[in-house]
Amino acid sequence: MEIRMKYAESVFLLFCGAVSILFLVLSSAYNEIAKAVPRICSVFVLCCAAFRLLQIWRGDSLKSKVLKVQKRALVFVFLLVGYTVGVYLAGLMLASALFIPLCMYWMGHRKLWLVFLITSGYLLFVYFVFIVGFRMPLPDSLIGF
Amino acid sequence: MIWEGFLSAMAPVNILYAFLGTALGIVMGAIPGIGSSMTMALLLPFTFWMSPAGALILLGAVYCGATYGGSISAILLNTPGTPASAATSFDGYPMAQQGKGMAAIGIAAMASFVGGAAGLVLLFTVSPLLAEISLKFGPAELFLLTLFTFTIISVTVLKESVMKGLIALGLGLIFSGIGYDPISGALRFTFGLSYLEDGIQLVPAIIGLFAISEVFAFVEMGGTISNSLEAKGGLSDGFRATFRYPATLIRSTVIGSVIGALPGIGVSAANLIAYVAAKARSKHPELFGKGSPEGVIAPEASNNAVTCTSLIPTLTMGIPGSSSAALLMGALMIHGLIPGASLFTTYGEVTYTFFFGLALSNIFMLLLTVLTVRFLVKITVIDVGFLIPIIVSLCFIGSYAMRNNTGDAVVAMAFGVLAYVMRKLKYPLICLLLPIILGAMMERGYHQSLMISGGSFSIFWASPISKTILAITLLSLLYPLAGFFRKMSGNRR
Repeated sequence: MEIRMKYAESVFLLFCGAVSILFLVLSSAYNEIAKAVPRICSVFVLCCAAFRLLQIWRGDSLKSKVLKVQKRALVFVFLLVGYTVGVYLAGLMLASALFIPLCMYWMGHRKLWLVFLITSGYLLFVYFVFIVGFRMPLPDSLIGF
Repeated sequence: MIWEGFLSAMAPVNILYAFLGTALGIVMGAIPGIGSSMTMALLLPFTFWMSPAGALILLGAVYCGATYGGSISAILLNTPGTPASAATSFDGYPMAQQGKGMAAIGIAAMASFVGGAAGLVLLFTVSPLLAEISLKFGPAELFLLTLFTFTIISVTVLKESVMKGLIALGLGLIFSGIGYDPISGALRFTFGLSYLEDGIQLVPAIIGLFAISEVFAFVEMGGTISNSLEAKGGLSDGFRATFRYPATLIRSTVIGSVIGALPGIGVSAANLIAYVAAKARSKHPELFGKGSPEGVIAPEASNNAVTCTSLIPTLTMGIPGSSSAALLMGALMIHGLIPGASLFTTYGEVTYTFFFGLALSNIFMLLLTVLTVRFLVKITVIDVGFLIPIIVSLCFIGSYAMRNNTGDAVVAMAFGVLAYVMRKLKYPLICLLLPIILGAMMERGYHQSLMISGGSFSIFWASPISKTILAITLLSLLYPLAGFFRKMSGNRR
């Protein structure tokens, strides 16, 4: 997937501008001390983002540049979200037991015995080092496992 | 007393503690997010039954080992194990990609050893003097120091696109404002979420910015980390390369030592500041970010110097220079030792045993590197498809474990996506990270200074230290401007 760098950076700058405006508006509700520095920072970001937008659209430095994003990276965002939700719902061990082989398979590894071996090895490592060795509480599932 | 301390440190049981602590520290430090303070916190209950010297040696060795261990994953996987090695990945990882992973680890180990040894010498010799200087750093001086750090980054790292860096810097400052206001205690920008009351946590932010964003790069890249399956340069090449840049080594050690002695700034900022300073003073700044040995020497020498000198305010005044130093102070107190002059008089033997234990840990660090590096570098020739889910899962554990909060893991993932976008658009991540580390300190320094002076800005140039920092800040701003105008006039002619 290809996007012109000019447009991609403009969208990011608009995002930065929106964040700074949001913080600027919210800061008006706070006391003088609490709002002083965030206000300065928000105005600073707003000015820099506006200046950079002018640089992008007036100059021609980004004219021919293209931003390449692989679809795999976008799919991976969903995988990450899925894993995070999975950990919250099913706990780290169960979610990892699903996520790790799935991710390896998705990355093109078809030797299932190897995928299974690495997953089991990793889970055993986590169990013995973190849970048994250090008695570290890892994320539990909602059902308490 | 020093001699007795040496003899006590050489007791087999203390040597064993130093070895085990270093090995454990290196392993735990290499796992993103775990780091020294968490490992020390987990070990603390196990030290109750040990002798005071043994407990301190074990925890101190973990502290030194973890600081170095973080650089191994930073170099081989571009995922810094600890905040202390965030800057190591900038040049260490490109070296690993070029097949020079072993040499990069050699540089990191030797620079860490030199930095740690120099920090120890300072700990032995100038502890009281440095503690006195650090006491002279009031809020105004700390504010100016953070301002100087931001300025020096703007004029060195961001030479290519100042605006991009400034936007990232501002964005980081905005994020650092989330949570309780450090002075008035007012809640800010929490959007009704109780999680945000404590602000953006440093460890998940670093994991997201460097580790998760790197995982995205792995997903796109596929294959293996190292482009070359043949190792170029061995460990000894790395050891030798460290001494080819004596100025960088000395400068970074001094930066680390001074920052370590100042309470509050800590190792997270020291490695970045040393990296920026090395780039600014290098004869080949264009090689930074592409596998420059200086880019590995600077953060590694500084972060291990910090580990030792951060103990100076801890031991002499009871003011911990870092969270790990705070844990060591806790261990001291658990064993009935109170920070202050008595540590160098009544309990001098225990203190000096501890110092020699740290020296042992530094030696073990080198030894363990020599023994294990051949196996460690193999990770760069493993298909990233196997590494990706494991790194993600370890990042999840690392960001969750410090506070047992799933929100931290969510923040790590969110910062990972943000960092991925910023990397694609070539925005410097270092500029987003540094304000998250130092933003609260800067804000606190600013308000406290104005409160002390009754609202007068003259406090910012009142003391000799303030004047010096201010002068250096202005000079660092004027120097590139002069170059810019010289270039402009040259073009006109």
